[in-house]
Amino acid sequence: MHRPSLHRNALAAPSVRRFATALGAAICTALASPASPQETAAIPVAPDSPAAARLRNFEPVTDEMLRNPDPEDWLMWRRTLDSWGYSPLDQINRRNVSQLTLVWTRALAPGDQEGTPLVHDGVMFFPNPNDITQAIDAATGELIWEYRRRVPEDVGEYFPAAPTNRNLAIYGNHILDNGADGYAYALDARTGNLVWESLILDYRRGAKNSSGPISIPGGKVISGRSCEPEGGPEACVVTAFDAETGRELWRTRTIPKPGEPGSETWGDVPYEKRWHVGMWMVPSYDPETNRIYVGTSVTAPAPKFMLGGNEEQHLYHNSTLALDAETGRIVWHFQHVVDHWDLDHPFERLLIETEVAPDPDAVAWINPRVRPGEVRKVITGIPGKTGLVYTLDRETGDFLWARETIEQNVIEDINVESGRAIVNPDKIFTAAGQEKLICPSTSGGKNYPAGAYSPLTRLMYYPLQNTCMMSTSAAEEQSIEELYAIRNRVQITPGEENVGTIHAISPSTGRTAWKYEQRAGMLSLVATGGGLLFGGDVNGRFRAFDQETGEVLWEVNLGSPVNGYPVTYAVDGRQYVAVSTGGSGLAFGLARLSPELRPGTGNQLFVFALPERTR
Amino acid sequence: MRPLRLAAALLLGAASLPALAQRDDFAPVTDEMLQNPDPADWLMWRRTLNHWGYSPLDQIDRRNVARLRLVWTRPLHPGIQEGTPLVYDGVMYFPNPNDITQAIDAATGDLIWEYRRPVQPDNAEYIPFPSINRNLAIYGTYILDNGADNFAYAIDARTGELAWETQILDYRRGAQHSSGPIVANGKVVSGRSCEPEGGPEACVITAFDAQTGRELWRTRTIPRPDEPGGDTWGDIPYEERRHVGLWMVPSFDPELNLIYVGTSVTSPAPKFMLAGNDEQYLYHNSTLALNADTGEIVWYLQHNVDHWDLDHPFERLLIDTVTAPDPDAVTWINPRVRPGETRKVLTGIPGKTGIVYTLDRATGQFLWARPTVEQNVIASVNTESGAGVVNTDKLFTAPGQTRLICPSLAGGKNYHAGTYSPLTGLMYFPLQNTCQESTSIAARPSLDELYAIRNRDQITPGKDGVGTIEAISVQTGRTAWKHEQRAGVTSLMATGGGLLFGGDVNGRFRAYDQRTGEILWEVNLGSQVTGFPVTYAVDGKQYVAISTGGTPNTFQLSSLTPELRPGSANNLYVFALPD
Repeated sequence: MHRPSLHRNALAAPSVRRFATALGAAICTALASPASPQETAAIPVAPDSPAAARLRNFEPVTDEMLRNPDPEDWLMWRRTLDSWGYSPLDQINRRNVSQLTLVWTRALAPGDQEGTPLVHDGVMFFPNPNDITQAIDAATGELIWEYRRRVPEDVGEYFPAAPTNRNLAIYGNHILDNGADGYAYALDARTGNLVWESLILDYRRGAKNSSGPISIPGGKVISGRSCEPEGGPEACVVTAFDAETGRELWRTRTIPKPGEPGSETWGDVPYEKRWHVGMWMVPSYDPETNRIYVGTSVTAPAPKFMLGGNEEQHLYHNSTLALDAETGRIVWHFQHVVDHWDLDHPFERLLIETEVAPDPDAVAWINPRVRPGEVRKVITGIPGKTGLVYTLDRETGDFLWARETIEQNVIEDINVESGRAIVNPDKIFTAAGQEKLICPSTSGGKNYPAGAYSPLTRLMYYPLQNTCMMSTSAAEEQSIEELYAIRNRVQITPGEENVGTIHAISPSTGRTAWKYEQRAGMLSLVATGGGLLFGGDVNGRFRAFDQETGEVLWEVNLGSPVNGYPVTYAVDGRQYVAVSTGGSGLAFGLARLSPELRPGTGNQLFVFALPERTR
Repeated sequence: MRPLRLAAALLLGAASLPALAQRDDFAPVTDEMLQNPDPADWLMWRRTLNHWGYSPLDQIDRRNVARLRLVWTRPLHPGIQEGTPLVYDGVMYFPNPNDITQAIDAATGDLIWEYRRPVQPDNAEYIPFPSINRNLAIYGTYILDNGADNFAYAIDARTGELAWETQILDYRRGAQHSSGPIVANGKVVSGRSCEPEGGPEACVITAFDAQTGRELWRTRTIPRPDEPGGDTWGDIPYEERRHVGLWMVPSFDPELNLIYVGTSVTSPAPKFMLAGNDEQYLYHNSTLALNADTGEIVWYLQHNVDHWDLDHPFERLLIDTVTAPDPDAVTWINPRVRPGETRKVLTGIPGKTGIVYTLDRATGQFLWARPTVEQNVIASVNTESGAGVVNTDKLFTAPGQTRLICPSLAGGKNYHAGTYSPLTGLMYFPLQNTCQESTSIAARPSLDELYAIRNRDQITPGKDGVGTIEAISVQTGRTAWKHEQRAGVTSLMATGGGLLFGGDVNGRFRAYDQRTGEILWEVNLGSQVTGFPVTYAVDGKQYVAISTGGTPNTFQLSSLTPELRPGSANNLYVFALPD
């Protein structure tokens, strides 16, 4: 539903904004006046500048572009709807990457910084912390426009790390994002002016939009969010809006009401006390089946003895959900583990068509019904903090195989028929004040730093951390103040000296092709057609690895945790690699495990390319 | 000198972290090293005591500079950032704003130690820009600096621990240390600006013993009525003679044992408010030569009587050169100059007016001068004495008068340093095309009206661009080439590779060909390039370091080109060739 945005309207007075007047028929008329200058600081571009020429040539983004993006562009979080994090650009390759040089850099606004640039037609759109969006000439680094959303001053009282603004989407002429103020909104990509905004939830009811949406063919803007306990089950929704108008198309809860399928898995917990099954990362989309794939988090509290009992499932927490994109209906679900320790499963789902031939020497759990060598459309990757790889049939959700990566001690076994995890009983809390060594920690294993899949090597690459935690159950009863109701002390996994690892794993056989280990925690990866894997770490190092071997071919020290998502794009035939630095709870948490390394915490965007003369 | 008892107490407040890569083979820095530095090192503000800003390193050259790549970068602490890295034996020492000093592995960018001097919370009430920390010095095993709290201090270069501190002045008496010291034969020499509250006693250049912190001498820039020059202030009582600061870094000639330093305008600037437009007000807007052992003023040359805040504190280049000023290029030539004679000169652009002055550095004799950017305040220079003859149309005689003054108080020249290359015999200066509509706003001096003029800035009428780099022969005074652009330009450095490195207020950092000004390499650093570029080598590999930030001067220049919108983040960048 496209709702009148009263508090924003009050802020933006006297400018008149369009609002839907009725349900369903919410037809939005043209803006009566541009958004107020307090909100957007769109500064005119010099008419003879290259940036102005780029804007004149700006082509609206079409369904076809989203399905099959120009290699020069980077149109969504992981570049393609299948979340591969792969670009076919190959001008920068294994042979010449050692020449890579800084072309431009720009300071980003302060706040938790995990941004992903979008690039279309030579213009970069960057989501700065605190809902500041910038359009930048992608070749020169010149600012074209800047939009600053007025974020309510008390937003930090309702959720942690409110400034986080992980990604944007683009559709037609619109840049699409979710605000810390609980709105979905669209900016004109050519001017930075606000075009529409639709209230998703009152921010005081604690739904946090750390991630932005994906836009999918047909013009839907889909996004999940985390939901603080204050918001109750109604805040735990994945939503779809019309990209052109901002009209709400559907919203789907991750927590069933009594009477709905799955409700029985919460035992006797009343509906309004079913909390915090969030979807705080970005969904994937399969145009063929027209399905959205998204993952969910732990409940609040985490220990289930406080919440209907350790025997219950508490759907749909820590699950993969397949949703019909038309209606938002849950077509299938697969729960990875009943989670007592805040080991969320919201991370990117890779959609790959691959031969399925899991190697029993490498893969601990294989469904006996898998016919080795069969080509299937799978959903694979590492969906949760535990670091386990899961491969499912993406049409049916059938379990195909799973294996561990870094050390974990919470999943004892997986039922190879159903894929249902059997939790290590030693790690289950049964009362307050119990202390257990849990591996990995809430930092992961896996976390928001994304993996990548390269069709060149048919390997997927994951940044993973060797961490554990001493967890103590901190309460007897659920309460809003004790979010997870566990207290943790994080440590490096016993027996390990290094925090950071990259695992290169075949989605076909499940075998590890290579492994890279180092002292500092590892952050997001991107794979390219030049045979390269780019990725950074919490000690500021940004590197190019050989996809085949993991050999480091190029390295630079960016001085602060490489916390943003690397992307690559091209302008006028020149390939660029962009990455950003900054701080976040995760990056600082990992950095504390290697205290002798003392990176800075600057929010900064860096763009590299080959020198003009050696291209 | 303050007893070390207090130093130890202060250390508790300093967040000195344990060293990552403690070097036990640290060789103390000697006067010999400072006077003839290893090409791999950068041991003081302009690398050498003659302020050339030149390094003989030549691994990076005109042929390969296009391949220069970023090796490491680090965010710097917040505040006004105009820092110069020092590099000694593979370790970089960086003066962050607000008296935070870092030692960094110069090859990798990893932090070794950090010293944070406690900041006085009320500091900004007394000093306009307490956070500026332009440069450090190094001597023995000490890193030497001046604090916003008005102490000279030494940090152990190996550990980041405070070694000594000596109070110079009470910070509430308004002496601002935007610049750090140089070391002249074991003496730590530095100037400062002096806010009017401090009176004449705050306007001093000081020397401390580098090993112990003991004060050796201090010399005032404002004479008492009974001292030489005291009569140039007319009837102004001593305690109302204010603000002749020395806010940039001195140079030093070890052979002549002379320190060279420049001074600022008075407060207020218009002289009708002091003792009249006919007085000289020594030693404002002057070059001073001081005996390094005693601080005694051996000679001085006043460039002009300044009514507009056009300070003359900038770097003095010390060069031994043939002197053959070309009358077609040089407006004012001392008739006693014998063309072709080799002389020890002091040259460069000492003040905001942008005028090049060449003096004999043993005697202070005026040799020649010429303007660069458009200026309209100096009508002529007396070719015998070198004294500037001020354009009488630009004098104020009462409050409420408005004059177009060129350049503006942004300069022309400002703290952004020029450089000299012995390869080309050219000196290179970053200059700006600016003017200001200045209005005199008071009849009498007061502490509340520092300069007693209000200014509106503009680009020099007839010019489209702010920034200019001018390459000028020290021998003939001729302009070899000129680079002009929209954005204001900032500090320069010349290298043995035939390159000139420099940045601008729009984030561009470039390598130019010293001979032609051709741009051979460029990167956009996203924020105003406000620090001083340096080059150094570690294990045979040459690096180029530069830092960004935002400063009152660069924001002022940036406001003249509003369509350019750089950031203002404090960052340090280090480049090298690919392996």
